Amino acid sequence: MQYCTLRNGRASAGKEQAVSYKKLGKRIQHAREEAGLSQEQLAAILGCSQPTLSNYEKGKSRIYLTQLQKVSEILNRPVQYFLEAMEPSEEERGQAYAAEISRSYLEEASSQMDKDILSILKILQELSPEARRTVYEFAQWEYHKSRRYGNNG
Amino acid sequence: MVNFALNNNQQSLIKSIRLLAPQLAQKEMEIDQHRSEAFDCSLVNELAKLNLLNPMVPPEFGGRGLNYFDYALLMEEIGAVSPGLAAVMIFNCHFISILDSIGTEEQKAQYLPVFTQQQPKLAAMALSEKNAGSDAGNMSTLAVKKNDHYLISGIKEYVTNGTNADYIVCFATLDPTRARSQMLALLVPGNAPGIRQGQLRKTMGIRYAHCTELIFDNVSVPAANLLGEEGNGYMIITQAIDRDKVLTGAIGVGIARAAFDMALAFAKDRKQFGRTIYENQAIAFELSKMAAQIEAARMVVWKASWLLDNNEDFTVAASIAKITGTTTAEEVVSKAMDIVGGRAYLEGHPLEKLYRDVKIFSNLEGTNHIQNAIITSLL
Repeated sequence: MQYCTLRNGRASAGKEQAVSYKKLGKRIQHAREEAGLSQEQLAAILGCSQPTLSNYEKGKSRIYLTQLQKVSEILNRPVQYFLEAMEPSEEERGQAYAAEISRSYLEEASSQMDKDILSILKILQELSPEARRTVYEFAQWEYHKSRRYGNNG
Repeated sequence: MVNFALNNNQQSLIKSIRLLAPQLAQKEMEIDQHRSEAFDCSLVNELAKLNLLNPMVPPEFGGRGLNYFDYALLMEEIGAVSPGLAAVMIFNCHFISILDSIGTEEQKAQYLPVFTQQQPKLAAMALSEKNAGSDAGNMSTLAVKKNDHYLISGIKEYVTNGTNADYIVCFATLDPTRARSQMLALLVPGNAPGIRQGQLRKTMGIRYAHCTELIFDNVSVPAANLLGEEGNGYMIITQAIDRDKVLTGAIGVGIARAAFDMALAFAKDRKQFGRTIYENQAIAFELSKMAAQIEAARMVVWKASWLLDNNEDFTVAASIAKITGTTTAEEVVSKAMDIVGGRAYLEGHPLEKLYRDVKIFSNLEGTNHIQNAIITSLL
């Protein structure tokens, strides 16, 4: 059961998949141009229409594995050459690394921190900036209330 | 080009499940109530007898060779009576569709025929991990090539059919830092040494489908069991889910139809203030909206499956079918409960079970949020 959760901002995973297919498409375009073929020529060899190939190259349609294998044979490149394009860029990796560091920090801090505070921080990490702002405003309101009336106020 | 009249074979297919429907529904209700930790084979046995447990297996390997359109018709019927069984079938379908689309002739000849026998065979897909759900590229389960074998180590989460799968497609990576281009799919026997079952997950609904954690501890898999080539895994999984999510939409249509039928029958029978509640416009219009939603959802499922069968671009249509089928199901079940009233809230009422069952289908096969992201990226 692939319960796909929205952890760590992963709601964007569909977009990441789409970005991967766009990068793959660009690599097909690059390899096609290096081979000196037009879209019409490659499409004819592949047995698809020129607009279909154009959509593959733009990432507007997903090229499927069997079709990619044909492309790799025609353009004389290993399938792996195209698949490597789907890897995240250094910048994307950097963002993922920052998120990982922040998770590690929380895990490290867990031994020294009140469990309730830790839970709140973990939840905050999952929220959108707008939702974090709402939580912050509520926390401020609670803070001022407790200052004015004491903790039972 | 498009024909909405179902042919004789399609009508027979539907009829064969409708004959079984009361039996399937009752058995699944019993299993739901008892929450047994042992998997009950009786439901899958019934479908296996009709060679419908794995209906996409091609005829040359002993299967029915259903296309996606006919499979969607079947899943609407199964979804209407037994959503847990439908979920079990979806994961068998992943296995069959991956094997059939990229398996070698030797792999197909060895494994596809066993899925057509009356002694049912089940399959699972080991993909999700603690940090790799929708983002399969974040996978850490490692595959190390050693001579003519791969050694797999890692922990897989939420494996449906994981307690009793005869075969598993396990996704692992040769290099976790480049998981998308180094991922591979391996066909692993469910009883391979080194596979351990972790925690059996207790779920809110679809309790017939057992979902568990699977631990792969240095599991040795022959290189001959590699599906496709090294590095193909990411495409294999994203594309299998792309195809098969149409069937999740069809299950949603079935669930919605079952709830609607119950609400309609109740509304026409239940009398309050001297007339049936159906005679109240508020109820009648609610039912008409439900009927319209179900028909619309069915049409997008049919369209997506038609595109699949005709080798047309189906990615957006499949996401639309999945979202529409599953959200329609959630909305219609909820409205049906409103019409039937308090008795539908009682434990053991079919609508109470459907209300719990339906929720997971918006998450299966990529959440509906992910589907929206896929659609918007391709607009």
